[in-house]
Amino acid sequence: MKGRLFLILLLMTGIMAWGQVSPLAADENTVTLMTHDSFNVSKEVMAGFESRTGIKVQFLKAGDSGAALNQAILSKNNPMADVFFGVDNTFMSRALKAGIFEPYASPLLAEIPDSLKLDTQNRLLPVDFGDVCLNYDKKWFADKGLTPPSSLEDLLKPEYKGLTVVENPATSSPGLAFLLATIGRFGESGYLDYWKKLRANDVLVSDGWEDAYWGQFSVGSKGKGSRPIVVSYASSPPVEVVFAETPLDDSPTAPVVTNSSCFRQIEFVGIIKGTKKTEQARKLVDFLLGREFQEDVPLQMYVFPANKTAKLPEVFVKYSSVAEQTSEVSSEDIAAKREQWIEAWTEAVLR
Amino acid sequence: MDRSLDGSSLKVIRLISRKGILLVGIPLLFLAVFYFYPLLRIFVLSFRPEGAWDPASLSKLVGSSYYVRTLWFTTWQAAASTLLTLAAALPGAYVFARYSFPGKKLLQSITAVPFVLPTVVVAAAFQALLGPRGLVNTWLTEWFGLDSPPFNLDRTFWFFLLAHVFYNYTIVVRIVGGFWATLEPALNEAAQMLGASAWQAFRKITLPLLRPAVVASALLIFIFCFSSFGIILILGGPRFATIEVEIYRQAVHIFNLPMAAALSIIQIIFTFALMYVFTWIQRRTSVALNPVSRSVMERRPVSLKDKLLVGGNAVFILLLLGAPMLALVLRSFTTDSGFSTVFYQSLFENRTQSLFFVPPLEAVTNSLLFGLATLVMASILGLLAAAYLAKPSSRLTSWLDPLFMLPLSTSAVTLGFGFIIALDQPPLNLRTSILLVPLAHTLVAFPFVVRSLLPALRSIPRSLKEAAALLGASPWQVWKNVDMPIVGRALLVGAVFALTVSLGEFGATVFVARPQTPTMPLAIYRFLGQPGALNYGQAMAMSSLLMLVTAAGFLFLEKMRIGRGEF
Amino acid sequence: MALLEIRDIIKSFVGDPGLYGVSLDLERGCILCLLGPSGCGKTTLLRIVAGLEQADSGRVLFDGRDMSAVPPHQRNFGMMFQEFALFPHKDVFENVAFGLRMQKESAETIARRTADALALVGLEGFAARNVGELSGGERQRVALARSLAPQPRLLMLDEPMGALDRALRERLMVDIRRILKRVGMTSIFVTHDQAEAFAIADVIAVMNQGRVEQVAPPEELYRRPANATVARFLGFHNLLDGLTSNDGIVETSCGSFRTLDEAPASGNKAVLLLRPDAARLPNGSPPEPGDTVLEGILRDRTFLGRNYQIGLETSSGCFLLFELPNEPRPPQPGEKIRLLIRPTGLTLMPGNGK
Repeated sequence: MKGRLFLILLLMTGIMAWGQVSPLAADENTVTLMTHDSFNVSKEVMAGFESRTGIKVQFLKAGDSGAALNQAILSKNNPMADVFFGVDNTFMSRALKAGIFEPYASPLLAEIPDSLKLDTQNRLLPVDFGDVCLNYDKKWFADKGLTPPSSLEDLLKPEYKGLTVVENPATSSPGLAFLLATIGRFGESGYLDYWKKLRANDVLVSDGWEDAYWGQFSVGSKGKGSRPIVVSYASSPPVEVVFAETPLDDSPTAPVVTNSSCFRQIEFVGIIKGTKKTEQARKLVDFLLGREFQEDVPLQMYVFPANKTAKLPEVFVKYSSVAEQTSEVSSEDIAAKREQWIEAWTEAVLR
Repeated sequence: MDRSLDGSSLKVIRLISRKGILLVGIPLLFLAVFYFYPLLRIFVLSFRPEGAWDPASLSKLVGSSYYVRTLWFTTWQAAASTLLTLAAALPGAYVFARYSFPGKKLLQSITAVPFVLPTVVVAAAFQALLGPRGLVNTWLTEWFGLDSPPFNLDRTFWFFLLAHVFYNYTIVVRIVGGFWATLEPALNEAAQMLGASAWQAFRKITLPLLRPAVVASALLIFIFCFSSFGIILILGGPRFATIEVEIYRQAVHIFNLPMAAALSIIQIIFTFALMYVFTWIQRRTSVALNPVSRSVMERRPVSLKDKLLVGGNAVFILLLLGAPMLALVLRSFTTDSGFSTVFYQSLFENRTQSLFFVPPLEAVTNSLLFGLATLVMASILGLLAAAYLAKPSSRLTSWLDPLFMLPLSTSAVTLGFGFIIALDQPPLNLRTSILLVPLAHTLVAFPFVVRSLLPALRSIPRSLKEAAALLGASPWQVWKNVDMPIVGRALLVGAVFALTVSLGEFGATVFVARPQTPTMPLAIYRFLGQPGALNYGQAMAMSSLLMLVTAAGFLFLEKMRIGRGEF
Repeated sequence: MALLEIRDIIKSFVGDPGLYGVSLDLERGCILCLLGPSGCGKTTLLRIVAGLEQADSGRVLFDGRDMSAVPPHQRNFGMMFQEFALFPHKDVFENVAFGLRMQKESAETIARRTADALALVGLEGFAARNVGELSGGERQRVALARSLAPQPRLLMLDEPMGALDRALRERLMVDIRRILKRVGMTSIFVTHDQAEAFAIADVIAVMNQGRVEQVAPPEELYRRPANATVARFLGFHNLLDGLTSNDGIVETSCGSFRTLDEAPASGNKAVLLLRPDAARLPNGSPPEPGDTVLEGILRDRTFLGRNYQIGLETSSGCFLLFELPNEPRPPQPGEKIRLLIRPTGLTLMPGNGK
């Protein structure tokens, strides 16, 4: 009896393994897109591309953006994919240094603002961007009769004591982006001083965005957390509306995009060196930069499209805004000094 | 001769049992291919990126006391968590071993559920209960009219210790409880008749006899907490960092592979040394016991003392384990407009027409299939390894025993990256195969099976096997008729662990590139990755579903008793 | 006043037979044996005396003191368990020394008294042995030495021979009584084997279904079982239902027998026990006064070594078992046989099967 049961289990396992052992068929017209876990696209949009071009896209998700990129770099001698999406400007110079991408001057680059094109050789092409910035609880500030913050300096005011939660730049990508925002804003000589004051004003550091937003932020935690100001994205407020429990006519949160208080994360796509399917890979890149996909981006990945011609959905126009002036740090600097900055920050804020 | 086996397979089995080394060869081969080879490749690549050795990247390791402090913190928080869990769960193990009472099965399955919950979800549950604005603090402030929350565990050492107890309680209950059930109660009574108080009898007789099982569970908890990652970061706050966090940071964010590899090697050597000592103690303390039938030993609580003991533990379990889980379930039904199933309904809706929408049933199916595959592979490998280790010890055993524990303590990042570069050629071109997921789960689950089985296997008196052999039983028959019925329960314990490890595993899977086969934990993380109350609600709903599936799977396994189920 | 007084113990289990008002007395230095079939409650009674189990009602008095509030480890009673319950992680010396260590004796005292206890059971030189290496008999002796070493006020032995084979058991029975008597230990001994009970006990209490049926010294119990249940449990087969008449005559379906017992008033229902040793072959000599003559056909003849067991079928259709000496040899099966029954081999018991 028990022997038979085990046999059945074994058989089931076998069948399962057999059916799925190699989903990545080496089909001529299949292109593999390696990306991070947050990548998303509408069914319809993807189906449109596949039926138009006859190219089948195979997705390979490989953890967060850092982990995915590292896997791509590690496998450069025997690549797992043809196209990689999701390198951002904090990881860009590492990716370029590893030499895993080949240049492609897509005609669609013409529709993308120059400020986003960070790689002059077009090995990495900008697809979308998101501004990491402060979000605040609108109702909380209204109830208290307090003016919401409008700059990074505001957080140091005594009436803002104990109101802010940020993410640890050592373990979180928005955390790092926010650290970079302060570096861009106050300069390498001034940012530590800012953080020391912020610490004195009782800033809370969470390990990651999830804990900060769901555990500490007063909106995300429904009042369980005590912090009405959180580091998140400028596009978070419209998402609050889209994914509300009950339809909302206003977002409970708002971003702070004024006074160079944001850091812009730009995400890039690149064709992996050594692909045998250059033709198809280029078509896929064009598709990712093209208007159809670009207009799908805001409501699938909650970031802004890089393509100027793409129209933003209404909810984005209404509840979000793009920072006019962002805080700038070059990706070379980021690559060179990232560890040193994080360590100095850790020393100043956590020890 | 056993009828369900034909002649040739019987021959194979004879050969295996005659040559013990073949027995252990299969799990060793598995480890060699899926553990040591990938590790070796990643280490070589890390230290000699372009064929040259670059010591500069490691200068920090020796130059700063930071890593020594991190290693020290990692060790002592793991030790503290282990001791606290043992202290909290031993009474529970006793109650489950010695008493039968209504709701026992259910209570026992509750203890197993935390094991599968993602850390972010557990952290949220603890915040909701014990955080500064959690339920308990809110009640206390209201009842006593306080100005501020009376206790603030958030970001303290105690908060993540508590969460470690929450996670690992089940390990003690299952492994020690399972073993305890086979101890003769007469031993304890004999000690009392000889003048030992209940406490003395426990300390001098029961505890030493339980030691192999206690050590086994301590070993697992220690390793588990040693490589703890999310829980410490979220609940303890960013001031606490373990070696595991450092490895992740170095490998993924800073891309300092030599440093990550060096830290991994330190982690491996350190845990191997600890495991060597632990397993040595465990072998030393194992004594042959008179196996007793379980049904005889379980009794209903009659006296007031019995009732207090059983009731007290049930309350403790419900408070420590049940309350956070209940908080999650309640949360999944609570909306601004009151009680509603809207989060569950929306699990089935693809609101944004996403290509990567995960229908809940598909996530459940994927999770269960991976779980079953892991259960089968880990049970077989674990059984083979444990059967070998349980034999009278040789020098080889003393090395193999701790060796089998290593996969559990090795950084998921390091191993995941190792897979990418090692398993890229036929016949092992598995790095994008769906098989890699259950294989990675098996690596983590397999040590649980070995640890669950060993105390039971080692306690079988040799005379019992010899008696069976003298009665004309072949080694296979001895195994089937003597060992199997006695270790059946232990194997069940191991199988439950394998299943739960797989159902809840998230760490290793993240570092394995995979096509679209989302599991329940992955779906939960996807919901949690975006703002919006609906996303959070869906994450809670999916977590509740995960708990339900786990409890159901557990009850099912418990029903289909492996072996005769008498012991 | 007896050393141990057990008063009206009642204990009920869900589904199991419990104890229904058991009372017993035990004198100092005396060996009491609780004899009965399995499930009769004898082990439960023992565990209540030990304090390992609580009675629903009733009292256990030791030396005049009520023990119900005293936990087992403070009673200073000893107990030898069915499977011996030797501590598998301790060697022989440490097993025997355990009770002394609990009494916080000095190392010297422990060494001396442990050695004494081992010598008492004939296990000198076994101190360093691992308990896993011991034979069944040796284990039993270690268990006995262990329970004796702390010099308990009362020793309880729960089926101490149950786990041993027959030959070993017979030898050890004698040893146990000798040892217990040498140290003058007051003991309660639980067994389901009447031979063991006869060999070891000073007093036997026969228990059945949670009640004490009879308390008596072994000889008296053998000679005068109080009722058919006791008789049957003692291994007697020839139990005949009958009616008493005058002059000690009992009428049964197998014939009329004359007994020496004081017969109850005539016309009462009674059960007559014919002990196996009550019969002899006439061998030419005439019956003595009071003898009853039984005639029939010899059906079985089993050679038991010291004597024969024969099965007799009387003309009235009764089947009776007797033991006969080897000389003169009983006839072959199938042959006619004539037996004389001594009145001293008969016991009259109250009727109604009770």
